Formats: sequence, C-alpha cells, structure tokens
Amino acid sequence: MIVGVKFCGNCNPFIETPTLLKRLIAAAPDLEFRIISRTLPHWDVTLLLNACPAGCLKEKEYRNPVVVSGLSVEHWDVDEGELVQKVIAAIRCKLPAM
Amino acid sequence: MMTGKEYKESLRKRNIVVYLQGKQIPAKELPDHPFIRGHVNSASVTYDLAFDPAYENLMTATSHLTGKKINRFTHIHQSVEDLVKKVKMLRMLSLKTGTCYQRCVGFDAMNATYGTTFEMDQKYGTHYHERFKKFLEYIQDTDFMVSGAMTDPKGDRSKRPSQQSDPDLFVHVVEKNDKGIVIRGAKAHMTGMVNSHEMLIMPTMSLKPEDKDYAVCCALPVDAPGVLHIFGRQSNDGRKLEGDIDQGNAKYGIVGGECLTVLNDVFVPWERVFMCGETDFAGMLVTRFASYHRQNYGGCKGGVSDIVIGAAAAMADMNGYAKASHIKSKINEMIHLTETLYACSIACSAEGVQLPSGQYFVNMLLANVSKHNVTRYIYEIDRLAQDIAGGFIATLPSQADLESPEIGKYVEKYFKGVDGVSTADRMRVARLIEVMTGGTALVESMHGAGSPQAQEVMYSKLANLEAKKKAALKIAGVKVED
Repeated sequence: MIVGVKFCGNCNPFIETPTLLKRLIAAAPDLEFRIISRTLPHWDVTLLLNACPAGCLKEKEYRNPVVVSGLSVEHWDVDEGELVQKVIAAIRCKLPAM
Repeated sequence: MMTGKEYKESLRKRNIVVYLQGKQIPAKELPDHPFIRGHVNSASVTYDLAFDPAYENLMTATSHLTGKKINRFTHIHQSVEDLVKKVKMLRMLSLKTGTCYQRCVGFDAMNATYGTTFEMDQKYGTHYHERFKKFLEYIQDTDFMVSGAMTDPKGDRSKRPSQQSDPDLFVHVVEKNDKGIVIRGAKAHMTGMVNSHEMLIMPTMSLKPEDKDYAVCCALPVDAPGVLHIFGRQSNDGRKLEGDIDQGNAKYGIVGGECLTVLNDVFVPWERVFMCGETDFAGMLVTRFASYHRQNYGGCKGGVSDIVIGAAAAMADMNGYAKASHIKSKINEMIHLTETLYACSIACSAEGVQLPSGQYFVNMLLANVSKHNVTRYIYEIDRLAQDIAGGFIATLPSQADLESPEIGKYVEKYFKGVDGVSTADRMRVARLIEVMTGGTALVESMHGAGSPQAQEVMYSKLANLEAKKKAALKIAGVKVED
C-alpha cells in the first residue's frame, strides 16, 4: 500500500516532520511512503504533515487524507511519545480493504 | 431571529433580580434604567443589523444543526471563513456603537462548550454533547442572549478552590439528585448579564481531582430562583442621570455593563448540565473559551479604536491644528496600532483549525498575542488621542453650564474652536474622547478576556521555544540532533 506524503512547508515548525517521516518508515515497513509529485500516479492514503497546529494543508483538498498538525492526529491532540504510533494507526484505518 | 425591538421587549418579560446602588430595580423597568439602557441599546444593534441586507453577510449564519438562518452570535464556527467573519462582524459593530455589545461572551462560551462536551463524551461515555446541542438549538431558535459566566471571585489567589476557607468563592455543586444539581457561589465581572436571557456557567481555571465539586458547566436563566445580580459602577456613571453631552456616548454607553452574579443554591436540571465532576476537562474548557474570547479583541477594540481615531482627528479639525505634522504623525501612529490589533485577530482566525467535533477553533498562540496587544496598544492609542485633544477634555464645564441662561454665553464663547463648528459639537467630541480613553474603558482593555499574565502564560507555553533554540544553535554552528 502506498502512502502519499505531503509536507506543509515548515515555516515555523512545532514538530520536525522530515524526522517524523523517517520514524514512520522505520516503524511501518509494510507501508510504502512516497512523496506526492506529478510523477507519482497513484497512492492509497494521503499523509498531510503539518509542522504546527495551524495545519495549512487542509484535508478537504486531498483524497483519503490522514492529517497531522503539530502534536495532533486527525484533529485529536496526542502526546509526543505516541505520535508515530497514532499516525500509523490512523493510516491503517484509511487503507482500502484488501 | 429577533429584532432589536423584540429583544428589548423580551427583557421586560424576565423576573430578574438586579440591585443597583443598594436598591432593587423593578425588572420591567430595568432596560430603561439610565445606568443600563446604553448597554441594552448596544446589544440591540446585534439584533437589528441581522435584518439589514448591508450587514447580514457578517451578522447571520446557517445553523449546522437545523439549516436555518441564525444570528451569528448563536453560531458554532464551521470554517476558517466563519472565524474571520466573526472578527469582521465585531469591528463593524464597534464602529456602529463605539463600545461593547456584550454578546461575544456567550458566543465564545457556547463554542468552547460545544467542542469540550464532544471530547468529554468520547472519553467518558457521557451525554453532555447531545444535551448541549439541544440547549444550543433552543438558543438559535429563540435568538436569546447568553452571558458567558466564567470568572469566580477566587478569594485567596494562592489557594485552589477546594482549599479556600469559604468554599463558595468558586461556584460549586452542593447537591445532586435524580432531577439535577444545586450550585452555589458567584461569578464576577459579568458582561451583559443583566440584559441577557440565559447564562452559561463554566469553571474559571484548570482543576485537580480534589476540586471535583467545582468542575461544573451548566446553563440557567438569568432570572432563575436563587440568582441575584449586583450591578457595577463605572467612572462618570452619575452623568447618565444628566444630559447627553456629558456622557460622551449617551446612546450606547461605555464597555459592557458588568455585574456580580450571586448563585444562592440554584437548581439546574440535568438536561442543562454539561460538565459535572470531570476535572480533567476543566482546563480544556477554560483555554478554549479564553482563546475564542481573546480572538475578538483586535476586532472589537479595533473598531472602538477607529472611533477614538476619528474623534481625535475631528477634534484636531475643530481646534484648527489638523495640518500640523506632529498631529498627522500621531494619527498615523494610532492607525498603525489599530491595524496591528486587527491583523492579529484576523491572523489567529485565518490559522484556525478543525476540532474533533468538526467545529473550527482559533490559533491559540496568535489569539493570546492578539489580546495581549490590546492590554498595551489601547493605552498608547488613547494616550495619543488625549495628547491630540488637549487638556480641556478633563477641565470642560458641564452641559448644564452650556445651557445656563446666566453663564452659557461664556461657555459658548470661550470653548469655541474654529469658525463653523458649534461649541456644543466640540464639547460632544471632547466628552467622547474623555470617556473612551480613561477610567472603566481602559481597565476593560487590560483585564477583559483575562489579565495580561494569563496571555503570557499561554503564549510562553505555545511558542515552542525549544525549536527556536535548536534553529539558532544550528545557525551558530553548534551540532544539534533533529
């Protein structure tokens, strides 16, 4: 399953989203994380990585999104230590059934 | 939706108990009392403009509960656009009234309670959110004015609610039965309470498990049995018993008309209880309310400052020194400060986020900075207005002197400015500057929506100082881990 990843731009980051992505890749080897680009034809879930609570990447503009905005996942606040686990759980909830 | 006239008439139907200067005011006469009518007039503008096509885009919204057109002051924000429109609405209303119109407190309390009850129910399996939605639908349907009631008297500020020698210094639950709860205590600085229909009680601070009885959020009519209100004094309020010139803003008054609301063993049925003992959610409710409320200040005080700027510039015209470069510079400085206030409120709205309940919430960091700006910049704006206006705003004789058959001619002659402007008009503008830039009005800018330290605590927590340190260390060439 492919997880398309979009970064917000990190103007004033509250979390290091590139580091978060590295941790997600390490924690979920069965998922293929790919940066969304014009050459990426298909992905199953869109992971929106907003580095602060402002959440400039809006889920309305993306298909099948999982939204991270600082220390919140899908708009619920999470502790820093459980961020990776909560993001992966949210992604798995959005994966299409095999 | 109600019109302003219907709103005023609805106030006369209450059996509200209000004391003012030691005497109870008959409930039916309350909206006409000289100390209160200005605040009623100001609130009624929020009703009338909802029917004016020129303002309905800001003043109305579509209920997400019923799909009906409602007054925006009863709306739950459904988008960033709603948050931005709120700020624009407040600036517009301030430009119409030059003062506080009081409905934002209940508006913010309802938005804070909506999201908090949703999250509480998710955690505890309670039914507060469904109850609250029914209350909200009732408010949207009736268009009633809700007073947000947060601030407790607090007594010894070094002690928590349950540690106070008098347990009533924070509102608390004294009895629970199968029908509801009984609460006791008081709420202070209650803006617009005496001309509202309902009040929404919230805790005043984050609470610990031992403060369980103080974790209470509920709604009740302002005239419920056991409730009484003691109306506060304002600087120069005695002038409200005289002519209109000396009042400065005779129609709408100054700030919100605050009172102390005493709750003497007041019964609240369960269907109107939205928190009862969930101490871990008190902090969420308080910070959400405070942030929504602090969002407002660049809008409402921006509009109020527009009036102060206009009055100062008009006074410069009336005095004949409008073309002096230092006057122009001071006016420009006032404009700069005012637009800075407004910009921050717009910014915290534009960076609003969706909550688990689906509603939208402001950027808390920017909302707190917005209000903190008001605690500083309004003083500077008002200082400049007083500088431009001149000392006569503090030494001016009364309207009665102006109208005196014996001495009126002297007031007329010696308080005249440029040709073509009457002394009476010059006195009106002087009084407007006087009342808007001193006394009660200034204190409201300092402490309304929380004192400056409350905002500082919030933005110091939210500013992510560690990330700034890391960024600086990287630039300085210090090796740091990501």
